[in-house]
Amino acid sequence: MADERALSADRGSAGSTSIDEVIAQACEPVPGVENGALVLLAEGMLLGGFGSGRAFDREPLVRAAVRCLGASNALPRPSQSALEFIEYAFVTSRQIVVILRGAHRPTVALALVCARESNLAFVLGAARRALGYIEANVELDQWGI
Amino acid sequence: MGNMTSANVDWSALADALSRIERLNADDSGLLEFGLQQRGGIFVEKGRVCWVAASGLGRRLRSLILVYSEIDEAELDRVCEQCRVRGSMVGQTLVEEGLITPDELESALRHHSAESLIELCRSPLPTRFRVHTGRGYAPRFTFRPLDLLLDAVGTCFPERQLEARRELEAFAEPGTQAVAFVVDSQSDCLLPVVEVGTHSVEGLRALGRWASAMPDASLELAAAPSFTLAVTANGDSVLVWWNAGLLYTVLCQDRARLAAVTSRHMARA
Repeated sequence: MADERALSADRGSAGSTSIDEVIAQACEPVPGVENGALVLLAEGMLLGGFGSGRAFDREPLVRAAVRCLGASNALPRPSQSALEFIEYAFVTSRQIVVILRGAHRPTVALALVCARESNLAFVLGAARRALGYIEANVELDQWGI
Repeated sequence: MGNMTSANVDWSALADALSRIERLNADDSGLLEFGLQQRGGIFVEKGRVCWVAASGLGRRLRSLILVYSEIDEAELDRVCEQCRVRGSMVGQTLVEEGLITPDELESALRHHSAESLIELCRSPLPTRFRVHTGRGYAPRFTFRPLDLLLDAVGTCFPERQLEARRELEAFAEPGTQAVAFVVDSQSDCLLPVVEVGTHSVEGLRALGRWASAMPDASLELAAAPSFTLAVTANGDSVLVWWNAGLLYTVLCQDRARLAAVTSRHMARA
C-alpha cells in the first residue's frame, strides 16, 4: 500500500492523468462527496483514491468493500434465482458510505464517503456514473483486471 | 418457565437436522433419530414436524401443558393414566375431551419440541431417518421445520424474540419478507428468531451468513449506521439495521416499497 502513489503515477491512463486524478474527476459530481477509494477486491488492495488523508486513511474503506463484495455475496434462494448484490449504502448520522461493484470489471469496487445531508438516491446514481467513467478511463487491463 | 441457555448448543447441527427434514418428500413420515443409543428424535408426518422427544425430558411436556392451559394436575393425571391403558395419545385426548384447546396443545408441543431439540444438539450426535411403518402421527398439530428453528432460538432468547416481534410488526404487510436475527456471541453467528413472510431453514441460514457482512463492514468503517441498504443488479434491495443484539432484514422488491420501509424504519429509530 505504501507505493500506491507510485503505482498511480506509473499506471494511470487518460493522457498524463494519474489514477487518483481520474477517480477524483469522476467523483466530483457525486453530491457531498468527501473522499473515496478504488479497490481491487480479490487482493484487498487500494488502486487509488482522493480526498482528505493519505492512502493509509482509506484502508477502512478498502476493508469494508472487501467485507461487502470481496467474497461471494450472492444470496441463494430456494427455487428462485440468487440475489447478486452489487451496491451497498451505509447511512449514519454523519455520513453516507456507498460501495459499488464495477459493472464491467466486477473485481473492482468504488467506495465513497459523502455528507449525510446528501440525497441517497442521487448519491447512488452519481456514484454509478462515476464508476462507469472510471472503468472506461483507467487502464485496468494492464493490471490483469 | 425459565430460559434455556444457548451455551454449548451446536446451532449448525440443529439447523442441519431441520434442513434435512425440509428436504424430505412431502409424503415422507418417520423419525429422525439422534445418537446411536437413540437419545431422541424428531417425529415427522408428511414432511412436517409433529414433536421432538429427548431422553430425560418426557415429564417436561406435562409441566408445559399445565403452564399453557387451565387444566389441573389431577385431571391431567387421570387422562395420562387413561391414555396409558388405552395406548392413545395424551395431547390429542386432552383436546378431544375439551380439556385444553388445540392452540394450547400446539404451544406446549412446540415449546417442548424446541427444548428437546436444543438438548439433542448440545453434543455432536449422528442422525438417521427411519421411515415409520406403523400408524401415523396426528397431522393436525404439525408445524414447519422453520417454526421449530425459530422456537428453539426463541427459547434461548425469549426477550429478544419479543422485541423482534414488536419491531417487525410495523413491517408485516402482505408480500413482506422480513427476518430478525439474534446476534449470538457464543457461536459468533446470526440466529433467526422471527420471520415475516415465507422462508426456509436453508434460506434463513444463507440470509444470516450474507447479512453478517454488514456489521463487519460497519466495524471496519468505525460507523454505527441507522440502516444499510444492499441493492442487486435487477433492482431488488434489502434494508438491514441492527441494535440491542438484534439484526433485521427486509427485502423490498420495488422502489415504492423500499421508500415506505425506509421511512417507517427511520420514524421508529
